[in-house]
Amino acid sequence: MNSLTLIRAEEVSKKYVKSLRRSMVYGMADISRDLLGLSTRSEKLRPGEFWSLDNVSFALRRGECLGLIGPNGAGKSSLLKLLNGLMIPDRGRILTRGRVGALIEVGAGFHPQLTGRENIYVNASILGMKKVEVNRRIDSIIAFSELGDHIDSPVKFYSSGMYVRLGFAVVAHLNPDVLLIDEVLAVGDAGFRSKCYNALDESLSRSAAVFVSHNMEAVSRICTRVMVLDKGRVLYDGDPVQATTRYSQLFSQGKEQLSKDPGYECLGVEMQSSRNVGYGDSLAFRVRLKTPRRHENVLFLVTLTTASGEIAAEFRNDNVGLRLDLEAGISAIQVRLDDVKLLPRRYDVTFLVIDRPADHLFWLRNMESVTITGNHTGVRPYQISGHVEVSLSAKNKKRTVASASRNSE
Amino acid sequence: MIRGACSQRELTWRLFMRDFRARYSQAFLGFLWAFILPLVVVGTFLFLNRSGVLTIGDVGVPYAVYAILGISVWQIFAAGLVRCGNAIVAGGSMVVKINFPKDTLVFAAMGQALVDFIVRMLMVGVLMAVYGLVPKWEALLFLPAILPMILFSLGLGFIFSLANVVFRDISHMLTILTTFLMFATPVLYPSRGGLFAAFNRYNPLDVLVNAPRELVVSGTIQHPVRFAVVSLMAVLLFLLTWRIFHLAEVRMAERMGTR
Repeated sequence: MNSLTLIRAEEVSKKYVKSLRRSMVYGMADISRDLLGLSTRSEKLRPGEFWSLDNVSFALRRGECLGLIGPNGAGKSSLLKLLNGLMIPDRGRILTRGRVGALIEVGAGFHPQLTGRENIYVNASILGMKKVEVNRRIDSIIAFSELGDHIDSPVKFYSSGMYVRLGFAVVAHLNPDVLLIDEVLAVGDAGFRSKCYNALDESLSRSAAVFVSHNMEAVSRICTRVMVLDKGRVLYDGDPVQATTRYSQLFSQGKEQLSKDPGYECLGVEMQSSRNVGYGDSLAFRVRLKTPRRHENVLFLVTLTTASGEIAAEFRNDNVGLRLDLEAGISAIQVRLDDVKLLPRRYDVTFLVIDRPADHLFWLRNMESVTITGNHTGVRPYQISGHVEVSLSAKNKKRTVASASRNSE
Repeated sequence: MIRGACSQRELTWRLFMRDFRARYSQAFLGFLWAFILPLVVVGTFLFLNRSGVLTIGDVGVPYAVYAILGISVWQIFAAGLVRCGNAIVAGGSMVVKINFPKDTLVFAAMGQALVDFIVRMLMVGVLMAVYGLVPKWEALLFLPAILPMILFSLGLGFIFSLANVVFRDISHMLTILTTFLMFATPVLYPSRGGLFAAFNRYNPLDVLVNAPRELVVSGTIQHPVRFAVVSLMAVLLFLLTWRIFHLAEVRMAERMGTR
């Protein structure tokens, strides 16, 4: 093991079984085999079993953070449990060094009858902290949790947010070498969340971390490297932006065309610009439609949706003051979207043609997909452009000048 | 493994204190509950004895002392086994979410049973003072003499706590089993031949309960050899099942699922 490598997973695989009865039978069989010293690391799957993780390998050094993303049931949490030592792999091996801190469920082990303060001691002890360590950090933990006077009332009277704050406060003071985080940042209010991120950033520099999340913004913010898992297999491992794109492709829903009745037909959507455009560039499409009769003053919409189905941006012809009339027969609609300042990632393009009042002629869902390139980052797909600068106050200027002149002497 | 247990002392103590505080923080009667069970059981038997439904015979000391002493030692086994058997399942989400030595849960559960035991021993002390009984100095050997009982209960507790994860029926079974065994073992009445004595010849609980009691009551052990053999077995059982528990605890968390 490299002196800096804190986690190493080598061809790790894990079997799983869906049926409860079989799970019990296999569990007993595995325990008996363990007791008799027989090997339980069989390559063969028993009836009803499948690989919930298949051949996963990686190594992390101090300061590195691996993001694990993938659809539900991809094996992310299983991998985290294997790393935490809660499960043992059926194939391959896992090596960790130093203290392992897992944020798999905050507040697990809290006793509802005990006060917050008492629970800090219990929880810290379960997580492997010594009493002297807790004594040294207790004030800091209580301050972090922002619980104030509530710290001495039983946790069963806490709100769910308070509960999580207390749990996170304990773990944030654990100072682990290996940090495992499972989706816990999705809790608490915005203020506490940003505090958690800060605490995390700080411990990340001192540890090797594995972060499981469905929140792509969080993943691309925190992780130095991202692994996409699907059905237990590694689909991609590497650059976070590439990984989130790969992830969104897993969810891209198929094309879907709906029209008012068979007389209305979409003859095709063509891309007239590149599918990969830079931040702030234009996108152009041509939509050919067949309508049995004339429709005056229709509403034409283009929406760009992210992989998670969120509408990132919308174009409406009425907002730009353009009137559209569809003649009976075939019409070709040319549309150009300018200045597309969306965060670099993949978007699905949907077209809608609506005859007022509320009469949907065409609903052409996810007909195209475009990828915005560039290195802008952020939380919201739309980024406002603008200008910002710092100006020195007169007083400050004088001081700077004075110190500058002193330096030059 | 043993060194591990020493380093987990603090965690075991924390878990024990957690359950201990939680148990008494909301109970109005608090410690009194520890007295109530033996009082009810012994009261029932006193009533049955007095009314002639059941003849217990001469036990050498006032029956109340005899019975409460017996049931106190017995409850180390009965309550200890039930508590230990449920320890892992009662640990709930933390067992599957946090990697920590799970045997601390079992030790902490036994601690709860021992708290009750200590409280009951106070009651025995008071009763003996009331009856004017002065125990011989050998009665002090009583404390080491209950160790085999504790180890025996822990030994079974380890196995049942594991089995309870896989088969939840165990916890129901344990309650019934301990109730049955209480009547099948000479806890509240002495053994007097027949099928009962034949059964208890092979029942380790017989001497585990009676040897400590005899030490207090008379200062001697009736069957020292049997007690020694059973004690040795208890130690071996404890070490063996503790080892099994260590090997199996990871598998167990695996089968408990995520919630």
